[in-house]
Amino acid sequence: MRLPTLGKFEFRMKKRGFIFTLDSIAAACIITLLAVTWSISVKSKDSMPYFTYLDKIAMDESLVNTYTANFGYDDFTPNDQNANISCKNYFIVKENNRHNDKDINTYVKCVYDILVRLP
Amino acid sequence: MNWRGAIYSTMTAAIVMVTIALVMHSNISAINQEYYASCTNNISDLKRIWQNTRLVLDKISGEALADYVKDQNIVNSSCDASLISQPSAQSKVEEYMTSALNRMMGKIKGEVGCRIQNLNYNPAAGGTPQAASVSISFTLICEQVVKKGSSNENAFYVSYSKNVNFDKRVETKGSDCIVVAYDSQSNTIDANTWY
Repeated sequence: MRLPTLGKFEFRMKKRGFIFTLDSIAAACIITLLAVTWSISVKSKDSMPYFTYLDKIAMDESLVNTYTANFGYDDFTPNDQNANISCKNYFIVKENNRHNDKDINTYVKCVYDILVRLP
Repeated sequence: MNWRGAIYSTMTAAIVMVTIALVMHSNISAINQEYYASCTNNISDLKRIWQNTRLVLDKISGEALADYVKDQNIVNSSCDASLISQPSAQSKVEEYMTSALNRMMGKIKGEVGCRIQNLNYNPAAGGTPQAASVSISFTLICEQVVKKGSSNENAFYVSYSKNVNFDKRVETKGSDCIVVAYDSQSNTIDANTWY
């Protein structure tokens, strides 16, 4: 004959273990699903075969601004674009057109990249 | 005791831990890749700045020599190219170079700095009032701060340095004493005081 206290104790352990197992299976499933979804979405963004790369180089920041403001001049119709502009300063010595002239001329060269997703 | 429940719990806990570890690892790898790509860009950009600076200093040293000879000829009422052998000619070259470096670095975004080290100014023997040569050599060092630290020890710098040598020739011409500074390495005119 089993003691009632012992039987009660065993029942509680079973129930607690069962509930904990179900919860952890559910949590594992959700986390795995999220991880797989995330990794697939990151891969699809990074995979270069689906993208083409276009450079536009200008010597002047204002010209680059014109390009960025008006895509109508471009002979393509991107359906997804990601523009990046980086401008760098280049220096030359100003021509010696007068005595003691040691000025430095600055030229800005901008590279305008568009990442285009192919249809 | 519920052994089956315990086994399932352990297995699911292990799966969760492995999944979290994998996700964290891929995230950290992506961050590291981005950081190293950024460093590579900094290194190539620093070399571009170094090369640009070298070209500017090459030209400006010729300008300095021509201006110095022109100034001294006015002061001394002479027409003498060999004045470039004077110590004050070296000071003039250093002054022009420092000024050019300050102007350039002030216009470059980011913490980039170029400086001159161990400058040697060696006038060639046998200079005449009509023509004289000088060799200018130094180390041009360009540095960029990639990552700031609480002290210099834990900050991360990209540095590019190389020895540079300029060979210059100054000539005086005509009754108006036009001073022309040539770059002997490329045989092109750096400065012409006619204008």
